[in-house]
Amino acid sequence: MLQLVLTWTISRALIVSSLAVPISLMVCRMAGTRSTRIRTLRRHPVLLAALVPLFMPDLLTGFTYRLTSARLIHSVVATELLYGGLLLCRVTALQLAVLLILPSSAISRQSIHSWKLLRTSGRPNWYRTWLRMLVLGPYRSVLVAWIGGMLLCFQEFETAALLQIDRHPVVWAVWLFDAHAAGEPLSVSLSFAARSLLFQLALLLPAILLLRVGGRRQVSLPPGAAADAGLFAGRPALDSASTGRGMVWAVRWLILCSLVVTFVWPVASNLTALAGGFRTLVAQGGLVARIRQIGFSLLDCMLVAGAALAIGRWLWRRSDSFLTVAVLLPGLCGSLVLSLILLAAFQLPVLNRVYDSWLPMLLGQTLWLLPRAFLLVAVLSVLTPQTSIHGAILLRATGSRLLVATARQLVFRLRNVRWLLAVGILTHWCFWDVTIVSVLRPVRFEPIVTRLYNEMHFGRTETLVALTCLSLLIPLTVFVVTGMIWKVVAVPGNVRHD
Amino acid sequence: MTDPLWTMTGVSLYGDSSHRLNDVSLQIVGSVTAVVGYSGAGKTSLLNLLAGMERPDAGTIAFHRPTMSSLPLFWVPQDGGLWPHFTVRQHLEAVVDPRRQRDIPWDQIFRDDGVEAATAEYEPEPEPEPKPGDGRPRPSMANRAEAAASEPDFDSGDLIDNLLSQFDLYHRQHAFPGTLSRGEQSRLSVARCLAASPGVMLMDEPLAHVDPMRSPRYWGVIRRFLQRTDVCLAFSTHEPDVAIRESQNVICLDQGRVMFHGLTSELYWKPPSADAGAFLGPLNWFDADARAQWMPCDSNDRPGPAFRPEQLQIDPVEKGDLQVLSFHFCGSYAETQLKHVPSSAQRTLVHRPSGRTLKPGQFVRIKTC
Repeated sequence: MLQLVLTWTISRALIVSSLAVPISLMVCRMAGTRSTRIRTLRRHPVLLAALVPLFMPDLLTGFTYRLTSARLIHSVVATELLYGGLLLCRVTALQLAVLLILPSSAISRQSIHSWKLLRTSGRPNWYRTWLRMLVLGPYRSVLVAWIGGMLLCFQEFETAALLQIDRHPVVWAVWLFDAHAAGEPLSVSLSFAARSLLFQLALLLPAILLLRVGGRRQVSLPPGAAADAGLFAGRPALDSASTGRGMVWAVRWLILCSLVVTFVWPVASNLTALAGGFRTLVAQGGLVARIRQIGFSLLDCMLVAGAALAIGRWLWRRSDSFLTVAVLLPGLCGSLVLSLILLAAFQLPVLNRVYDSWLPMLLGQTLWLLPRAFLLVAVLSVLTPQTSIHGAILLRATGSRLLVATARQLVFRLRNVRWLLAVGILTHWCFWDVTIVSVLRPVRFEPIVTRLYNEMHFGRTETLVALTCLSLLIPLTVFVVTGMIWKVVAVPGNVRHD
Repeated sequence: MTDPLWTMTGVSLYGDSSHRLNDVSLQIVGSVTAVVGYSGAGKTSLLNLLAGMERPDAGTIAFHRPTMSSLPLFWVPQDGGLWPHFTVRQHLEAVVDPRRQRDIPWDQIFRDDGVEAATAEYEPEPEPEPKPGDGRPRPSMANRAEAAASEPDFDSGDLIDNLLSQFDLYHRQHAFPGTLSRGEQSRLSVARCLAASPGVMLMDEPLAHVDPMRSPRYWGVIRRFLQRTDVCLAFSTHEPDVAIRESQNVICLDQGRVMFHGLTSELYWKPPSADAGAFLGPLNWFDADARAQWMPCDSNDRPGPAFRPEQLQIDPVEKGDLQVLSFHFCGSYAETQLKHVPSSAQRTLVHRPSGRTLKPGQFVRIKTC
């Protein structure tokens, strides 16, 4: 059975990830010149819209489309298409992010052309070297993005679990999670997980090799130099191809649809039930308890996000590739495999003492978040070179109060806000992950997300909608307020530039 | 100004595979200091340490804070270090301290002293008229600065206008760094540093991306600023002519080690070794034996062993020991490969061009001048 489920999941991942590649490449190209893509992100609404699905909780997506899936229960194809479509939005966003931030290959187009010029010289192994150059050069970022998409599809759990009314969509993670929840012994669950782990490793290893062999890391190149070196993923393979107007419009429509499907509709459809839901929640008298539950979850996730970011920064600064791969690998294997392995590890006699504590959950969440934290650190390092921040720091030493205030505001804007944003994004991802907390949480602690996940299976009530919105709004409010307080503390007095 | 700015003692900075700086001990004094060296020699690492952006893995660095400015230090990093959310104009507005600017004779700094005349044939890119609503007409170069500086209420807006004009950035004043060319970014970074008017300026390969025809004009602004203020400058470059033209002191780095530290003129005329001397451009090295062999008829008493191209002349003769193997004209100097016929020894000389081409096989003699 597992064989069939795995094959089905892999086939879906293959199709969705392959379909997403041309779309993400097109969006990447539409975003403008190579070096300014990220820096001028806010001036590219298409790019921002395409990235939105990456930040929408899977749980909310699954919850929104659960009723649709129920209506499609008699059509396997329709259910699979619905799930595949939702995945496509998410995978496109991920691939786009990878294409935007991946450091360029050391093998430039000029290097390949230089090799092409030697073609007539009858050099042995010319074709082999040429292919190697192509794979490690311009196609490298595309291949890594494609593998990333495959992994995301393969590891997706929450949306599939909520869409699955009967047996479709068929997803190995849901199948394994259900089997484990139904009382399958851990050793059996682990043996099932081992096969999926092998598949994931088979995907990860080439990606790591591609990044390691074909990559180079440049953090503080001047923007112009970055453009020459193709820092921002270089030019993807399709980048130089002339793009028809019709194609551009088609991609814009696709992105618009993706935005509606993953953001506008989930928000709009739940807003209508919000007021009634809050009234019921207050009337039932459970509001304070729920807020406390959200608060504890938030606290846990903030702690984990902070730790993951600190480790990510440390890894980035050390720039030791073996250590980086070793630390990031557990998280890259997906939350289910990771949590099952940790569960088994904490059942060993030596670790059994801390089995029912916060440690397994915190460790699992941190390990799972680490690849994402590392990615964010990389993005932040590229976005604001250390030299820009140091310029502001130097300005702080002036005797002029006005300049000191300006310098403080600059440092706040260039450094603090971005790290706060990074912690916010990581907290958001951690907060909405069901798998790790479901498997590794201590008995006495019930995170809000597991409660939501369980209740979402039993229908769509106004109370549930209100609780979901509360879970989205409270963390958001906390971060906005934290940011404001931090700004007041860090930038006292009047400043000229806002 | 001979007061020390930085005292470095046994400073090392480790890299991935080798030392970026290895046991560097030196004292950097005021005035203008150039840091020269080949790519990867450690110039940027040294400046990053001086700027305090990096900390040494071993050794100590003491910065003797100058007192003339409220801002002790500001810099021009290699990548410009611009602030992505600020426009060109805002970069300057953010650093200008009117109290400090009042003491600086900007009118004299902006008044050209002839450098522009030398490059007058070059037409800079046209600056479009300001858009309606910009609020400021395009300023003429020096007259507005003169007026601004002489007014009792110092208007930093005028200073910014003039700085932008001096660095050909006025028409780009509302642009963001992400949309600027590399040259424009370099110029903005330098203009920002001048606007900040710190006690010490650190510049890591400033104006490296600026076209060579306009670069001297911008250097002229920096030079006049340094001449008319008590601001010190330390900058890195791998252009020997810039180091010679702009600096009084020079630090030569090679593979993270200091090869030479002293006066630029000393390195130029009396380098301790051929390798060190080469940092400031081509030179010939004749020790006593070589001089006796290659310049036996030279009546000048010019001390060696280093001879710059302008100190050597090669004259054709009817018959002699030296024969031309090849000749290459390089503009301000020529490169000639000679053969010492009796010993069959060969060497290449850089010398001042005589105006005529030396032909292979021709007999010549070397003369110092």
